Amino acid sequence: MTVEQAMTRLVATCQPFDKLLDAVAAMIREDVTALPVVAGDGSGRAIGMLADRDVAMAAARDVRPLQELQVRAAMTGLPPSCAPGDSLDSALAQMREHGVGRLAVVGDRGQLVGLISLSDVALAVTRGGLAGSSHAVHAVCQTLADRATRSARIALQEDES
Amino acid sequence: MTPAVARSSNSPRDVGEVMATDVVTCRPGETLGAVASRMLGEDVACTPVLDAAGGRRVVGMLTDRDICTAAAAQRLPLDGITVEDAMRGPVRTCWAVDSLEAAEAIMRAHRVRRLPVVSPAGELEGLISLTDVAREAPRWQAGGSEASSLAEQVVETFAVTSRVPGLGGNTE
Repeated sequence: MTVEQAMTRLVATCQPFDKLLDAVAAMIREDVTALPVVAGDGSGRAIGMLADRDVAMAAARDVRPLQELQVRAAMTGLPPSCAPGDSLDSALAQMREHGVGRLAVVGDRGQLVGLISLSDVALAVTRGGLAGSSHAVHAVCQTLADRATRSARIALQEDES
Repeated sequence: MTPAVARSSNSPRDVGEVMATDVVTCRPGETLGAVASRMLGEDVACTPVLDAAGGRRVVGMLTDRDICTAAAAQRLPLDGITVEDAMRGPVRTCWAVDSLEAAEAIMRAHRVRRLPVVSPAGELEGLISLTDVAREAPRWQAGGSEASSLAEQVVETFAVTSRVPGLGGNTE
């Protein structure tokens, strides 16, 4: 199965000068945990991501409410990318390599066409029927386990520093 | 949070052997500002809410998402919102003596990825996440034929608890 068959196509985006309040409203409306941030110049170029955790962090750092904060104060960089034609296996390997749960799916002209998360892969694998897909099942399980380990390791390093 | 120290045997472990015991917690009367800072500092996305009286009884759960949702709904700075106004309950819990399969089944039934582990009196003993269960799958594989079933269950539960645009989904 390819990334294109499992990915979430772009449903909503936000821009750097949007209010965080509007971005959170879009996340809730679309029921997504992160929005791509696209350049405000009309090019549609993806320049970053805004996850619900990023919003919580920005709000915790600031004394102002979300309607007075902008996306640019909270956004993070684009995640590592893959191509729509890549196999799910290679997407999972990339997630494990970078210790992330989500990749940007970028088309051949460099345009963002969607996002693929570990959840998307799990859903695709489950929909396809788990019987006979033990390789995919173990790859998803391993990617999930690796994320946990990595996060524990990072926390440990922070403790030691 | 760090998991309990691993045993060397290949026998399936139960919740108490896999759960995190150094859990970041909060109280209903604290502000989201204080709790969000603690969650970020400790690098956790979810914290059990303990009772206001100072005991260890779990009365709610609070996630990154709940913080965002409350901040957007109330249009106040995080220091102006209390945990009580943002947390969600009732809380689904499990016991330390539960098997990993039992905990995973509770997560699946209630569409959550984390469960507080409580004593019979409802007092917090730890926290177990689906990722903790996923980490155990290779051990099960080494131990025998039930391995693939645990991995399959983890993947199914992870899928069931995913946010699907338009369909609703998990928040914990």
